[in-house]
Formats: sequence, structure tokens, C-alpha cells
Amino acid sequence: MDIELIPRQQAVRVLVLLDALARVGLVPTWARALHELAYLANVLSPVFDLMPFDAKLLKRSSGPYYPELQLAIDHLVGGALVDALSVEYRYLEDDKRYSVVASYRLRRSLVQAALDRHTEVSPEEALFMRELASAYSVLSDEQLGRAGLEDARYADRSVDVDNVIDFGEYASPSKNFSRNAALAFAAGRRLEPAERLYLYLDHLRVRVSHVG
Amino acid sequence: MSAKPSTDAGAWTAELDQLTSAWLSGQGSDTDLPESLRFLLAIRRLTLSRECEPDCEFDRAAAMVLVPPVFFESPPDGTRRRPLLNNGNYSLTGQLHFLNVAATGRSLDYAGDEGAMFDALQQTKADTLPTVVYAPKPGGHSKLSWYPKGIRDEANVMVIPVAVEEPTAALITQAIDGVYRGDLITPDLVPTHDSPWKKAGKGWASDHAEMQVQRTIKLGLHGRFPTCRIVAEQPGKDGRTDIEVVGDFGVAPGAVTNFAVLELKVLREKGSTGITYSAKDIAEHIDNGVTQAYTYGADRNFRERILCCFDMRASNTGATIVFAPIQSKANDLGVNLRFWFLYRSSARYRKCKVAAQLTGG
Repeated sequence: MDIELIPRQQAVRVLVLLDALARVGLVPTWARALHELAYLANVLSPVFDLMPFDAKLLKRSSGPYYPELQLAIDHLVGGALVDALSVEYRYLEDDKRYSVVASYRLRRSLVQAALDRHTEVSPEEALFMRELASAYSVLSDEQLGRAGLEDARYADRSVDVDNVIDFGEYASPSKNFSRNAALAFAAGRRLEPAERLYLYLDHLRVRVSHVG
Repeated sequence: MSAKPSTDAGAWTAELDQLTSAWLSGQGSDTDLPESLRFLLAIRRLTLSRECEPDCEFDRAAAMVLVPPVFFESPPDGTRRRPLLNNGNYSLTGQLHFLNVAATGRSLDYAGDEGAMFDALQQTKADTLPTVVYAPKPGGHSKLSWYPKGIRDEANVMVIPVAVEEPTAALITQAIDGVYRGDLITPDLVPTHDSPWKKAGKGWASDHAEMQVQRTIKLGLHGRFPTCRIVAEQPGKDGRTDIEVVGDFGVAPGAVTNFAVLELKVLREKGSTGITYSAKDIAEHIDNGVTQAYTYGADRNFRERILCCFDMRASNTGATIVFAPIQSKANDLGVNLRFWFLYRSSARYRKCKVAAQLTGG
């Protein structure tokens, strides 16, 4: 990927994620849920035959978090394309520092044209994000932002906290255990890709419920 | 899908048995459908799963509104998220549900009777949005009223039962009859880009006639059999099936039922460039259809094998004459034969209808 294009692509990704979440009523969206959905989109995109936007991340005890994505969110807030709500100054255990945490909402009148264009150019990705968000919305408010910890790839003990989870950047895509699990549902039956997302997120919900 | 499953499911490896034997709900199986149909199916499955629960309420009506994303960005006061609404474990009645196409979203209680529910839809500015009103009644008599343009356009409503029927050859035929009368009988019923005709006036069939008919029939079957998987072009060693009707939602993995396989044949007199097909070509085409319907049905263990012929020729000679050469073969092979005639214009349809009435045909 062209390095100069990455910040712009991150910005588009934030808009697409926030739009997908808004479509299922998860708005305003808590930052943790936004990062979590970005992670699930990365591990589950091969189910739709799409490439992950980012096939690696640092494993944190609090769940998936992408610094570059947060930077893009902050720029979009600064550019008045996204509203930041319920802004708090909170101590982050993982980072051993205070940080601003917030929930986010699109300024739809300013971004709808960009979202429509994205759907036109990447209809498969748009469909994937919407179906994923729809499947993700099965999680309760308490589970949102915590479910990633129970994900098949994220929870795998082969990678410790503060180490990199690689599911296709340098490691083989077969190390994407989330994708493997999604493809394992309903063996021998022909499923639509979106069905696998709903099954995956429902199983994830059950796992999170058991953790409590 | 090109990706091949691997058995290494990381932290979920110990649960692989659960994953492989998962029950299917139908969610996500219909992303190729138009939004309104997808929403209707989701609502029908939602109400069906609720009515299967012993604590299901049949007390008051409910409204399910298909809302745009902007609606959730400033939702009406008092709405709350209902993450598990789809699993049938939660009450539906006495509420307005503001949902997306997959029936997830937010709910709001309303006080009072059905009139109060309609008032609440107005107050929440949802009266012009596509809405399904759920009127519950025990004993499998619940109804859904579909207002595609919202309850404000009260004359534009279609009533659908919540209860579903098992797809038999007779009910599938009935469903196709409905689609035929609504979309196929004359070219005037569908926009040009969805038409099986290239130049209807000249009797020229489109190159995509089979595909257009297949899509129309598939949509009709989805609407009629919401708890079934309706799939097209399923590959196998014996070829690709045109349409399959499979009962695999809400049943144990070992209890999947292959209800019916449909082989669709368009009988053209003239192709998209005016080239003429001979009677022999058409007879062979129909005969191949019987062979295909039988083979797919036998190889893939379908209860019903149905050959559906859509006749686009100039004259309607009727099913008996069209199927005469293959009737015996079809009987022996257990293939149901079904016939629909596509008129080239509404004027021709009217003329034929009058002639049939006058001749008692």
C-alpha cells in the first residue's frame, strides 16, 4: 500500500465503520467498539474474499486498538466531519498514561457523498461492513468493546500481551484463526458469506456471556 | 468462495464441533435481495421465532419500521437498543421497532391500543417510512400488514400471514402463478432492463430471458417460503441447478430437507437478433429439461423435481400439446411439468382472453 495514501484510506475507513455502526443503531459509537469492529473487519474480511486492511496489531490486555485509526478519527473530528461526544480524560492501563476517550458520530450531511462514492467504488466492501456491523449489533452495550478479547485469533494463547498478532502480514493467512473458525460453521452446507458473519458474532457473544 | 477452511481455529479450536453443527437462522442468507423484501423476510422470521416461544404475547399490535441510518443518529426519546430482538426470546408487542434491513435497531414502548400505535408512528415521524404492522393472534392466525410507503399511504397495504407452509409442488406452482400474473404475463409489467423480451412486439426474446425469469421466480419463492433457502445456480457434478428450495433454517444440522429443484426453460421462437428456433430445437430443449430436472433431483435427493416452461412463442397451444412428446418420460421419472405462457403485449393478452371465453377454452 502506498504510504502517502494510508492516512486518507484510514480516514475513509473510519467513515465507513461509523456509517455501518450507525445503520444498526450503534450511534454514537464508543471508541473501543469502533476499534473492535475495525479488528473484526480485518480478521473476517477473507470470508468475503476481501483483503484485510491491516493484518497485524499489537495485542493489548484491554482489546484491539489501532493508533493509526485513532489518529484518523482525531483528524476527522478536527476537520468537523465527525462529532466527538462524551469526551473524558481517562487513565489507560495499557499505555500507562492519560488519554482522551470519547464516542463518535458522523456529521452525515458532510460525509454522505463520500460514503455514497465509496459504495459505488467498493460495493463488496460496503456490503461486508454493513453485514458485519449488523452481526456485531447482537452484542449488548456491556459486551461492546470487550468482545474482541474472546475472538478466535485475539484470544489465542500463542501470542502474549504486548506482542504482535500477525494473521497475514508476514505470517501465513492460515494463521487467521478467526477466518478459519468462520469457515468452519455448518460443515458441508453451502452458506452465504454474510451468514458466516452472523454465526461468528453469535458464537462470540455466547463466549463473552460466559466470561461475564 | 476461494478460501478453504483450516481446522486451526485458535482459541476456538476446542469448540469446532459446535461450529460445524451450528443451527442456521437465515440471517445473512439473503443479501442479494431488494431491501424491502429482505426486511419483510427478516420480520416474518422474527415474528415466527417469537411465536414458537411458550411465553409469546398475543395481546397488542407492534410496528416494525425500516429506517434510514440518519434516523438512529437522532432517535426519538425513549428508544432503547434491543440486541437480541432477532432470537425470539423477547417481547415484540406493544412496541414500535425501528430497524434496518436485517431487523436490528431500537425499540420504543407505546401506551394504548392500535390507534395509539399509529399516533406514535406519526409522532416519531415514522409514518412515511416502510412499515410492517404485526397483528398477533394465537393458533397461527397472526397477520403482517406491509405498508411500503408508510402508514400515511394507508391504501397501499399488503396483508401477509405470519404462518408458513411447507413447499410442495402445488404450493410452489401457486407461488410461481402469483409471480407470473404480477410480473411476467405481459411485457408491460416490468421495466425494459428486467424484461425477458428484447423486442416484445416482434416476439424477440432477450439473451438474458432465462436469467430474468429465474430472478423473478426466485424473488417470488423467497416471499412465499421465508424459512427456506432459495438458491440459484448451485454447481454439482451433474451441472448447475436453476433454483433449489431447501429447508435448512431453524432445524438441526441432520434435519435439512431438500424440498424441490426447479429446472426453468424459456421456449423461444425468435432470439434477440430475430433468428428463428425450429420446433425440433424447442422440443429438444424441453426434453433436456426433463432429463436435467430428474438428474438433479435424483442426485441431490430432492423431494420434488419440477420442469417450469415459460413459452414466449407466438401461439399459446397449451401445456397438453407442448408437453405431449415428453409427458410419459416425465411421468416415469417423477418430474412435474408446469407451463406458463408469456404474451407479447397486453393487447394480445386481451384478445386471447376474449377468444378463450368465446370458444369456452
